[in-house]
Amino acid sequence: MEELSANFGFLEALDRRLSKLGKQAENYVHSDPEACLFKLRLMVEMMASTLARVTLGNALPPELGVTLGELERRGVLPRHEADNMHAIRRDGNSAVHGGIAPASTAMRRLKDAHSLSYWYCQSMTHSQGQERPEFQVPKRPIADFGVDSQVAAAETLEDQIEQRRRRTREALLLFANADDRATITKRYRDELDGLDAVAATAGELSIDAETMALIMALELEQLLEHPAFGQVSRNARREAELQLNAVKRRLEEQELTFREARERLTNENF
Amino acid sequence: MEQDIERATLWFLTARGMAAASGDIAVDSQPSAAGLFAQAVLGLSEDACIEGKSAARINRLSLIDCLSGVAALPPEIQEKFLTGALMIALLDRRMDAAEVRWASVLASAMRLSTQRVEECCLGARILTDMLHPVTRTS
Repeated sequence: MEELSANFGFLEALDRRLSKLGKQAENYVHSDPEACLFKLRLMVEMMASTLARVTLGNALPPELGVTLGELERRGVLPRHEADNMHAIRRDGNSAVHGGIAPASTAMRRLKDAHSLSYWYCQSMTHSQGQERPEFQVPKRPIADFGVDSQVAAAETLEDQIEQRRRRTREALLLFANADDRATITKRYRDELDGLDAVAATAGELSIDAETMALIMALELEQLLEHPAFGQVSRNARREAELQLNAVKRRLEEQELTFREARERLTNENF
Repeated sequence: MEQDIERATLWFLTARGMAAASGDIAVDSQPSAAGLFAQAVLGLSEDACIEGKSAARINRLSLIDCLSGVAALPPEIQEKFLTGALMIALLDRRMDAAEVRWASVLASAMRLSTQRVEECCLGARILTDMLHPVTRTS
């Protein structure tokens, strides 16, 4: 019987192909880093494809990058896992297209794949609370003189690049990783409702909501006609009009609520 | 640097207000457009962006604070802020009443004319096209 991989053996029960790919990647990490990255990319592709089938149904995007983006947008892939998958996809693509990958890069991605596999396993089996097995660094063949120091230098450089990448990503996002987005968003929504109530009670602002909606609807129509979305002019206009009417209805409802409240107050007091 | 950090705080608060108005965008996924806009259009550095949206700075502020902050900005920066906020609103090719309200109060706080608002919205549409965003339904 074939010996299970030290890092990916736990996948065997869930998906034997993933476990096998993980083991192959482990075996190649020192001797053939490009092959290792290729195997890891395949792993990610299989995971993404399964997740997409489960969550997106038959509407599978054709490219891995698009699939990952869609899974992230839909909240299926948490940010950390999405980052790891993108990193493996990127390095795997580079390896396939002849890019030279140092063993340190392959090792880092192998570690990412290990962490990803654990998350994937938890998600697919809906199990939580089990401790993640520690990543076991695959043994390196006996190195020639000087190679170890080069590998160490490459690893340091890799660390720096990784830190740099995470910082860039952090700067781009709307919320920090530790932020409780749902709570913060709710707080802002409550404030927006309050602003709506003020406008309905005290009168609209200098740029009133209906004017703003009309201006936005005109640009929305142009956007919907964009070749990437491919709506014909008539449909784009109809869609923009529908959205404009929905906003107007909402404004009318607020006005009506305000009038009813005022009438009730008047009747109660006079 | 401090002025840049304060501006970053104000910008991310403006953008968060719009993302919250969009509903699920703020919760399910995080558009990178806000950060791209901060660096490419507002000229803020990565460090200013990270510090500006640190919990200690941004979480103590409300959207009302944001309105008083944008009201005090120079006119050319105000227009950039409104353009960016509208860009976030249009990213998903949908227009919600809450997004319209936030855009309306922002523009009013900035005392912009209708023509200026139209120009900002046009700029936002062009940026949205360039970013090639994704719809909620795709």
